[in-house]
Amino acid sequence: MKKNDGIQGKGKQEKGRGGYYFLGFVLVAYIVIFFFKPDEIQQSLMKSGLLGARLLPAFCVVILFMGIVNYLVTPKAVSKFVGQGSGLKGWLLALATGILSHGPVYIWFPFLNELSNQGMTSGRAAVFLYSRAIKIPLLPVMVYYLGLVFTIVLQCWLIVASLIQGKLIEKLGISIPLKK
Amino acid sequence: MKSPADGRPTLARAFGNAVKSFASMLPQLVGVILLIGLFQTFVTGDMVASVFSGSIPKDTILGAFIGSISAGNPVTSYIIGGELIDKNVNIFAVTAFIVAWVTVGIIQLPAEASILGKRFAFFRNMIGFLLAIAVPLATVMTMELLQ
Repeated sequence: MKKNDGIQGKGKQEKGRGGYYFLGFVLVAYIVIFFFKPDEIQQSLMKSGLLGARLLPAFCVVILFMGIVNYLVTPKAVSKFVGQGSGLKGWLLALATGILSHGPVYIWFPFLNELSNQGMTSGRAAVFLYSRAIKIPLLPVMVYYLGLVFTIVLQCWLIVASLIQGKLIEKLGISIPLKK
Repeated sequence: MKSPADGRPTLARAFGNAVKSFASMLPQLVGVILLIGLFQTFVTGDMVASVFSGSIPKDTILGAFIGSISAGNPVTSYIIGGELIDKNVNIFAVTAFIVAWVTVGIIQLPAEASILGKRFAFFRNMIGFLLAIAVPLATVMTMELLQ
């Protein structure tokens, strides 16, 4: 049997330079602003540094998840649970995992890319990303500002909206490109 | 390490590939973190409050727009939302702002487009923006029905 390299092993890693251009653009912005507002740039760097440090454990968790997916999860299993034929269960699973996921949304992009390459549909990926709007640990803060009933009603509508978004993404035929 | 008989990769290879894959996405993630630092330094709650006019439709769209270009921990959006309510900004605009903050991400759009595809990122954020206007309307209407 041919040795499987996991998801990335299907082909050469994408050599997109977009990420470097984006980072370069942000660095240029920092340098330009530094000449006019050096103190604010120092503050921005401090805030970014702190944010980066806070995110390090989350990055490790995401890499761990990606490794586990690579090792244990087969495309067949992903298709079964969150693929085209997964039906209502697939939508609910994407919804529940989105609600339970932690950290900023962008740290989950590589993980979703991984799952999409294994067979997760774009609609389920969209539901996962949207349902992250429901932050169970932060709900008491929202209740404090907006009230209990308003918060509950809003969360219910966010669940409906996340499913609408997922369905629309699929109806529009938008897919997540597979790695070459 | 032996490769499992069912054709799965070895544990070392699976994790090695995960690290490599994540590393290839690091420039986008670092760019997003640096942009968030800039945003948190230059944009304050008072600046946000000053742009609302009092018109419900206009302020709702504006709330969704400001939420879309904002970034950071969602709890920050709740606190700014609370400040906006204290400054008599209407609940539609505040809710649109809070919803868009967590569902639309203009700052991370380049990273999302690069990792999940341009079309997916564009349409997901576009639909998210429209829903950030619709969800407050649905929520407030439901509240009125409940009262």
